[in-house]
Amino acid sequence: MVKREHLSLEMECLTLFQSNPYLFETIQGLEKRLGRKMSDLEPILESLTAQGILQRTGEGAMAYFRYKEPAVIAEFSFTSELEPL
Amino acid sequence: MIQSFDLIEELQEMYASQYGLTNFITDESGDIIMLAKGHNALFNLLLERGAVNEIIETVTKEFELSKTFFIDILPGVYACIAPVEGHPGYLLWSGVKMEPSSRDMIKNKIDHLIDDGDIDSILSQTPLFTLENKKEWLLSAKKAAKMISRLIGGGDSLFSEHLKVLQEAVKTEEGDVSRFLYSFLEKNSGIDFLGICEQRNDDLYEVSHAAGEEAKRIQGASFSPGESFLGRVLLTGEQAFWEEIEKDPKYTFFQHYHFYPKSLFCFPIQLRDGNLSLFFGGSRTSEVITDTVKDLDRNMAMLLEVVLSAESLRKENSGHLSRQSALADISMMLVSAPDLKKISYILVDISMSLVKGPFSAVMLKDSQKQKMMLVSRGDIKGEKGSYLKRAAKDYFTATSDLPPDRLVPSMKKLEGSSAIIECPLYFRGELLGLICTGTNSPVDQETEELLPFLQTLSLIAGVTLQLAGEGQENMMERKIEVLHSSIKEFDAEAYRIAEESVKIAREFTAELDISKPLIKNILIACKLHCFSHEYLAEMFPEAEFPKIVKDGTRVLAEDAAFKNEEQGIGSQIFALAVSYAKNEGDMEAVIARPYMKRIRQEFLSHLEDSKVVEQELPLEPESSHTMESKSVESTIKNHKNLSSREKEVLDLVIQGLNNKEIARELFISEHTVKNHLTKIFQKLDVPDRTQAISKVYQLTYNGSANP
Repeated sequence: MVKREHLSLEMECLTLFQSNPYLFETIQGLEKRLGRKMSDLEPILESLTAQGILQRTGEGAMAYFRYKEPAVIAEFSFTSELEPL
Repeated sequence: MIQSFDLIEELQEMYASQYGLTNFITDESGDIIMLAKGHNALFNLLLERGAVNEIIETVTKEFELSKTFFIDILPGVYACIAPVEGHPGYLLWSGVKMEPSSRDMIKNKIDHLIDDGDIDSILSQTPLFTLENKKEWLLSAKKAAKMISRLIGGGDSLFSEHLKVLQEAVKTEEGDVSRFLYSFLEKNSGIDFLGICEQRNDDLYEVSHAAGEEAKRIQGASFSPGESFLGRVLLTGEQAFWEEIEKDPKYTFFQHYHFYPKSLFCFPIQLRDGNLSLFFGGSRTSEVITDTVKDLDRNMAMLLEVVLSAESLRKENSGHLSRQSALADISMMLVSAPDLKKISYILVDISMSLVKGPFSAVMLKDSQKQKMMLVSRGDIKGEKGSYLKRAAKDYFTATSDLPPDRLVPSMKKLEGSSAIIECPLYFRGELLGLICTGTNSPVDQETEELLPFLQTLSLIAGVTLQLAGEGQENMMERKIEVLHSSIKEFDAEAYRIAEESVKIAREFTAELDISKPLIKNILIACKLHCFSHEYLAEMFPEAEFPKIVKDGTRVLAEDAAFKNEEQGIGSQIFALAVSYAKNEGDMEAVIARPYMKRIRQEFLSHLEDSKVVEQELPLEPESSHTMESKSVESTIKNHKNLSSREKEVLDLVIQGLNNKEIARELFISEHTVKNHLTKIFQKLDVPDRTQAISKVYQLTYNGSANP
């Protein structure tokens, strides 16, 4: 379950990636962009990655994060199968 | 030279946010060397409008500055000025607070400074200047100036180092004071232990935090004011340094906890709520405290005060702060999102990361297409997929308005799986979308706690969706109008066809039982019939009408391979209307295809009907009335038996006037009107007014039928 204190930072991360969908950034870069500490960012990036909102490339300090767009079914009727486009 | 801009800025920001004041620093010539920080709306306004410049100049040039003092920027509006020690002419300005009794006067004074802002809201945000907080303000300004004085010049690198520790400490989400203490210990070799004492409910004091080897043993130890070394400081309120303390009788307090320091210092720290806390520390090895270490201790005490204040502020605001700021972030993001798709991305991500469940889906109703857009994260196949379809059907096909309890987020328990949160998005009672988020557990309290947050979120999202929808529609309509009117410029004939086909399609579709959005799309297709469907699809990627143009054009082009049946009713109507307009209303030439026999028949019979209507047009009430009244007039005029006055009266009777009105019109008495009427009735051989009118019409009709 979400840790309340992290909510704000989590939303900050989301905002950053949502508004820059092509952002490709390391944790150090994110630290600078958000003005937050790496130790605070780590669990949040971890959780966003686990939820499939971010995608991680690489490992450790060299890992890059980027936004992964959600699946979209543009025309969905109540009877059709829910196959993403 | 200032070498620690960042740190000073950080300090300014901390000072500003702690007291709701804006502050800045000026130098000996009155120039602002560190820009204003803080959100004190009144001071910011005054600064922005240059209302403080003169005062800065006067204070810099004419005042002897060695003490912190207040100055009235306006009557009843105060700023505090603190000289920065060791740097002659440097001043820290902070402000403003206002006297509650001067509110009206201030309002009048600043009235001309504000164009359209709300004076009342600015004034209500301004902190009050009262007897009680005067002293606190002076002290805090003094302290801030002192810290700044150490940073300017950059000589005190240790202090800068401390301030960095402080920055870290203030940033920590939970204001972890212990972490702060440990950072200090790491950086200062002269000190072995540090600790904080705080007041408990029963007036006793307790060592609430302790850092350093062995010092942990006294954590939780309690004492009363006056007791031992630390209790003494509570009584005197003064800082104290003790050396060689082992010989002191008060030492038993520490011995009791098997803790053996050799020197000790203690500082009282005043908290925002007026309570006193203690900051202490010392050495287990050195019996003396050097002057350097004393300075160091003072610095630490000063910084700790800020940390404790920040923490108490945070406690006051409890969890609301982070949640509110999160909501503010979300709102900003939603409002600036350009379109529905982007908004749905934001919503699906937020709900997913909030609930941390296996999936989340956002369904939005597209008012233009009468379809749904579904954006999802996680696995929504199988059982979950069918659930989503059920939920969508349930919400979006409800025939009557949803009851109010369905408009708030709720928990749905699914057979054999964990709970799902359903959060409808609506605006003024109209359902615009639905968020369904799976949880990892059955209904529990923690998940339920999220519901109020989601409700606020759904309200914001509802408004944003509405706005985005309107925006999109308006933008599209503008684009369509621009394209349509541009046809006129390059192809007059195509424009005529567009106008004509829109007209006929509008009349025809009004008779058919098809949805409004489809009608709208057919009409747009007619408007833009001469553009290629590729171009239209590129210009309006989300819209339906380019497909109507595409299929309709194939129908018109007699594309044999093209099978356009039931689903293509839109393109068929488009083809009919355009071909009719192209052939300038020739019904015989209206396009005929085997698969559109029925619709063509309906179209033709509509045209037949409308032709009849057209023929009947001249007989419409208004025009027929003028024609009739003309001939009625002439009938009366030509009636040989009637006198001219009687003719005038009869004419007015026909126009529907009563006796009184006729009398007024002709400037005669009502009685005379009656006399005239009696004679008219006699001459026309009728018993009353109605028959008279009827007789005149009869004469007119017979006359015109047999001229």
